[in-house]
Amino acid sequence: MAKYLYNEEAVANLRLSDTSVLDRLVDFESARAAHLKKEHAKKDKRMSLAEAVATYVQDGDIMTDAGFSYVRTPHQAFNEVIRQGKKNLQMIGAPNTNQSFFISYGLVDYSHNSYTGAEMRGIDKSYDRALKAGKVKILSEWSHGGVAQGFKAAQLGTPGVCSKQMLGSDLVRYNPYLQVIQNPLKKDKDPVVFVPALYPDVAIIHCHVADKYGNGYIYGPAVNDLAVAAATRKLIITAEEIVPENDIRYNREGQIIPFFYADAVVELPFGAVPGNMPGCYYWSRQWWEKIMRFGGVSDENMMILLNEWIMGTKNQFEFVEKLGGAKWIAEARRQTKAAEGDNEDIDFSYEEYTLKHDSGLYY
Amino acid sequence: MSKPYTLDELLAITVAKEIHDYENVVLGVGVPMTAGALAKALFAPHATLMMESGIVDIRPLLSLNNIADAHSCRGFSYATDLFSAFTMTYRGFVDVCFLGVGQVDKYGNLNTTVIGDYEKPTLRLPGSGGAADFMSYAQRTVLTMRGGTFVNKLDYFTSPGYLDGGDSRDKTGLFPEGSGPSALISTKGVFRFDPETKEMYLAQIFPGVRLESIKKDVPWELKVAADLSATPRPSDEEINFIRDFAPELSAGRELAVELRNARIKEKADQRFVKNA
Repeated sequence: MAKYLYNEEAVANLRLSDTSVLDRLVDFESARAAHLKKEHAKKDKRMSLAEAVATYVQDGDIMTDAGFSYVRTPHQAFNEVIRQGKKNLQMIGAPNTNQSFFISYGLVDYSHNSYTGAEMRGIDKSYDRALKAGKVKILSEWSHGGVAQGFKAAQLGTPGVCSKQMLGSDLVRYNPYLQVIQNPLKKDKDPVVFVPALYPDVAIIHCHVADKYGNGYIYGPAVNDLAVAAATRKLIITAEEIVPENDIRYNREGQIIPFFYADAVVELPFGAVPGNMPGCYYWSRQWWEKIMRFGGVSDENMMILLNEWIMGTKNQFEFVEKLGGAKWIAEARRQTKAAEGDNEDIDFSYEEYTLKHDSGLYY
Repeated sequence: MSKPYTLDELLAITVAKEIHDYENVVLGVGVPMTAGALAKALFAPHATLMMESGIVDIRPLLSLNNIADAHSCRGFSYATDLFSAFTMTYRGFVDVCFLGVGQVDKYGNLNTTVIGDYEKPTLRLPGSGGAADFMSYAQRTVLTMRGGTFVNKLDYFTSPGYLDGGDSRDKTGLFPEGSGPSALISTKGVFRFDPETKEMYLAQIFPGVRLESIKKDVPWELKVAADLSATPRPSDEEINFIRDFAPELSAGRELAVELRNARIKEKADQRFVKNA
């Protein structure tokens, strides 16, 4: 029996027979209980990536995508989740692009859908195939603004927000969490949608630096990560570098995740590879083109690539070696600096991967 | 007489002219990004360009790959979380935003979720992303179309245009009065919406494009403005800007790739020799 009252039209449209599967995402009581149970003391939480993933990512968890599709996304930690063969995950995020890799390996039962694709590199055909084959079931349809407000509501410490997002769209009719109600302040008809606070089970957030307690600093767009860090029941912080606490206190300003949200801290240089880590390294455009274009052709193609890159590497260093090692690092660093106008050589030319042309280069 | 241009170039240049000086503008990747940069450089120097990722007053060096990517990490005046661009739009700080089209109907409603039946899709599209949010609250929305389709009925109603036309959008109480799509710009012409019926009509046609070829794409009886005009030919300055900022858009992706690949290897080798 479900704990909450869901939008019945959406439940019918999505053909959900058992709505109790929806509960945990909006279950404030259990999220608060998890937050109370966490280690509140400022302790050294450093551990290996393998240990952090084994301990804090559990089968059946609601997991969030983080960063923005391939910007500051914890790709290398996600690869470890795949290598450890976690099961029955629910994926949420705005965007929710990287669920596609998990789905390819059969790790995901349910998706909360907002946007899955690689923007300028196109439609994710592998996600399209997975949905058609019934490999994954959609539990709710969202806009980015809707998901962002749901996470933000959790961070604000409210049961939810009355919003004007998504009204008039079919999204409301395909989202069991959303209820349209009357604005109590208005004399005239004024529908608003109640977006409940969203509490995922686990998030992995890749930061530029963190201290050993889990204070994490982000440079560039935070996207949803500050809100997600506040909302999630379990949080793994991975960072390009672990720095002394004083570095966070005195040298960093702006977007900081406080230490008490974090359960585990992992030093993970190149943790966002093959994506972009602003200020550190540019994304490997050829790698993503290969995934979208070669992998887009068939599931077999996709598995050839993923097995090569994810199962075929033990850690991020082996991944970087495959991308081209030190040469890749030098070029990716130059390009991300150039992107910020911080390199004399503003040049982004590269050999693009197409089905007809594969240079074998990733920089 | 200006130099030859492609229809994609004219599309971006025409889109840029929808941005007025001193406006706050939310851009997406692709044509809108290029159009925004062009507008800022040539027509609307005081426009403030924003991205969905919460980056405000961005000055891009080249077209972004991703709305949160490295090119948007410096040289802005304000950055915050993802939710902020949407809430700024709701609070009335955004004058115009730009959205790409999957399916569009005669009242400017959009589908970017699924082609075919929801349960048995022909093709799953990427999803709403921020489209539904922006289209609900931006005072004006400009739709850009490269490869989308005009349909009588959307397979899925992702983002609200003028709903059933007339005053139906305003009457719902869901959206700010007077908001909604202001134009749809394709690679063939400019469509606007009738102030009364809110039905889309052809307002401008790109030079060299035949009316029949536009009508062929539209499954309903497309209305055409009595004063249908030809879209002005772009100036050399406009064309040059686009070619410099977004060569893919100009050459077409395939050709741009070939041109670039032809010269890149040599260049990359030189760089590493230089660094050796």
